[in-house]
Amino acid sequence: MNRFLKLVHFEFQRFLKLYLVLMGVIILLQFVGVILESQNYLSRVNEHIYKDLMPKEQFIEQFGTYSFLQIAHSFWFMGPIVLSIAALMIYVFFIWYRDWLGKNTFIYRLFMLPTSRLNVYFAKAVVILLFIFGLLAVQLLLIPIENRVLQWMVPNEYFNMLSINEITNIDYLSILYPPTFMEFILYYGGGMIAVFIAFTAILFERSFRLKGIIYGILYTGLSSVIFIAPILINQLLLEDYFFPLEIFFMEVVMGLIVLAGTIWTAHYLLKNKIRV
Amino acid sequence: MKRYWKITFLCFLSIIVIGTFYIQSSLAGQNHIRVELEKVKGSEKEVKDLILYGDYVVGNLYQGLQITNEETIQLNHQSFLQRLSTDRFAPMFRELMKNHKGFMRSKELNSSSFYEDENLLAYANVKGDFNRYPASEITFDIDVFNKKSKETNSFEVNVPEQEKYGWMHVEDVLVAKDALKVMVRGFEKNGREELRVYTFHLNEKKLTGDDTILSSQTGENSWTEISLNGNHHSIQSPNHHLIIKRAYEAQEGQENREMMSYADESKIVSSEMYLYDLEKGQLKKMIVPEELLQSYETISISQSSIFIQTLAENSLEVHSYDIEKEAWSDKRTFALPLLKAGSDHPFIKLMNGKIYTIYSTDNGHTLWIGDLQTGESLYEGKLNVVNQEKNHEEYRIYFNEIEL
Repeated sequence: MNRFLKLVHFEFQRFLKLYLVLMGVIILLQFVGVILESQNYLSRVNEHIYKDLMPKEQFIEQFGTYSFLQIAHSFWFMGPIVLSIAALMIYVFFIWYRDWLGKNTFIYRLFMLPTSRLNVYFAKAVVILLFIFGLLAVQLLLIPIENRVLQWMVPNEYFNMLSINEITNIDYLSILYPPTFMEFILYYGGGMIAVFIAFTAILFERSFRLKGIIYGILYTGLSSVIFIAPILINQLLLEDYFFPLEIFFMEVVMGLIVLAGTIWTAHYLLKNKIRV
Repeated sequence: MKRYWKITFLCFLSIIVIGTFYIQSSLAGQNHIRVELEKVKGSEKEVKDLILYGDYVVGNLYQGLQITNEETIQLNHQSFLQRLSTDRFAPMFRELMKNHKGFMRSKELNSSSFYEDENLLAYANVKGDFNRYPASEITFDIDVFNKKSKETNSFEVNVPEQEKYGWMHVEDVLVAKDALKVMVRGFEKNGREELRVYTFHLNEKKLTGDDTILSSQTGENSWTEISLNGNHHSIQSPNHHLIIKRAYEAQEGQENREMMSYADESKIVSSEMYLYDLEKGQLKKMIVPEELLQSYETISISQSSIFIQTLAENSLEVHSYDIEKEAWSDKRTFALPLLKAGSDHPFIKLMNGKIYTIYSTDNGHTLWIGDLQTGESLYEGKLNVVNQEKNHEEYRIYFNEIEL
C-alpha cells in the first residue's frame, strides 16, 4: 500500500508545475472576464441612461439585469474550463507516453519496481481523478468570490444576485456539478471508467504498436457497445420494454462489468504483452 | 511526511470543498420557495387534496413547483432515483404502472391511446417511422388486457393507405363489446388533414371498418384547420368529442422553400363546431353563437355537457350546452374578485362539477373555485409566495395544472 501511495505521489509531482500554471490561468482569465464583462454592461448602462436619457425601467426591460449568468456564458469563464478539460484529456495519454519517450525509457524502471505493475496503472488513474477533483474544487471556490466581485462592480439596481446553487444549475455547469451527490458519483464514476478504457487502449498500442492501435480502437468500441447494450436492445429490439429505473440498474451493472473487464485486460497486457 | 503536504492539501481541499457543496445544496435544496394558500372565503375542504403545478421563473431559470396545501415541492430537487422512478410520469400512468406493470411495457404514454373500464384495459397506437426512406411498415399496435381472465389479446394490423400520410396521431380509443374503435388524426403529405375512425374486431383480430369523419382542404391562399378538444390529463375520455373546424384566408401567398408565407395576417373566414359520438359514430354540427366562437378562453367537455368559458370584466362566464337536448342553457357568470384586466390568460379547469381557476391580480395570484350547478363561490384564496432567499424580488410565477 505504501508503495502504491509513493507511486501516486511520484505521478502527482511530475505534473504539478503544469497543473499550477493551469490553475493560475483559470483564476487570472476568469477575474479579467468578470471585470471586463461587467464594465461592458456598465458602459451600455451609461450610454443609454446618461446619454440617451432612457428611463431605468425601460433599460432593464430591454437589456435585462446583470447576473452571474452572463459571466458564465462569456468566453472568459468558459474558455479556461474548456482548456482544463482539454489539458486533462491530453494528459490521460501523455501520462503514459512520457514514460516511453525521452532518452532513458523510464517505464523500464517503473516496471522493475518490486510491486505489481497494475499499481502503476492505478496510480496514474488516481492522479488523474485527483487533478479533476482539484480543479472542480478550485472552480467551486472561485464562483462565490467572482460573484461577490461582480456585486461590487455592478450597482445594486441592475444586479441580480444568484446563489451558488443557482449558478451551478446553469446549463453546462450542471454537468460539471450535478445537482445531487448521487449523480456526481455516477457522472465521475462513468468518466473514470472511460479513463480506464483509454488507459487499456494505450496499453494495447504499447504492446502491439501499430497493430495495437487497431486493437485499442476495437477494444474501446467493444467496451462502449457492451456498456450501452441495455439501452440499444431496449430501443431497437424490445420497443421500450423496460422502465427507466430498470434500465438504470442494468447500466450500473454493465458499467461494473466493463470496468472489471478493462482492468483484467490491462493486467494481462502489463504482465504478458507489454514492450519497453 | 513533510514532502507530501502538497498532495495531502489537494486531497483535503477537494473533499472539503466538494463535500461542503453537496451538504449545503442538499440543505438549501429543501424547498426554499414556498407557495401558501391563504383562505379569503369558503371552505378549506375544497383545497384539501388539491395539487397545483406551476413554474417559478427568475431571469431565465425555471423551477417546476408542485404545490399542495401542506407543502411546496421543487421538482428539480427530487432525488435522482425519484426522478427515474414512476414518479416522473403523469399520475394516470403511475396508477396503471402500479397495477398493470406488464401491460404498460413497450407503450407510448399518450393518454388518448388508452381505454379503461371495469373489465378491460386497452391500448391502440400507430407504430412505425413515417420519415424513413424507403418507407417502413406503419401498423396499428393493439393490446387489450382482460382484467378478469388476466389474458392479453394483442395484434398488429397494417394501416390502410399508409403511403399518403406524413404523420398520424391517435385521438381516442374505445371498446364496445367485441369492437375496438380508434379515432385517428391523419396528416397527409399534401397538407390535408383527416379525422378517421378505424374499427377492429377483437376476436378476429381484423380491421372491419374505416370511416372518414371530417377532412380539411388547402387552397391557393386558404386552408382549414381541425382542432380537437380532448382531455389529456386522464385516460377516461368523455363519450363525445368536440371538433372545431376553422377556415383561414390570407392574401398574397408566397412559396418559400416549401413553406407558405403570407404578407398580411391570416383571417378566419368561418368556424364550425361539431360533436362526435365515437360509440355511435355520429357527427353533429352544433349551433354556436358567433361571439362565443370568436373569443373563448377554454372549452371543457363532460359526460353530458359542453362548457365554454369566456372572460368579461371582473368575471368569468360559463356557457353550457346540453348534449342530449342539443341546446344552450343560460350562461353563468362568476365574479372573479380583483381580476387584472389584460393580464395573462387565467388557468381554468373543470373537474367534478366544479370550476377551478387561477388568475393573476395586482397583488399576486388567486385560486378560485365555484360550483357549476348552483353558481356559488366555494372557495377563494390567495396564493402567497414565501421566498426564503432575499435577493429575489424579480420573479414571475405561472400556474399550469390542477389535479385532485
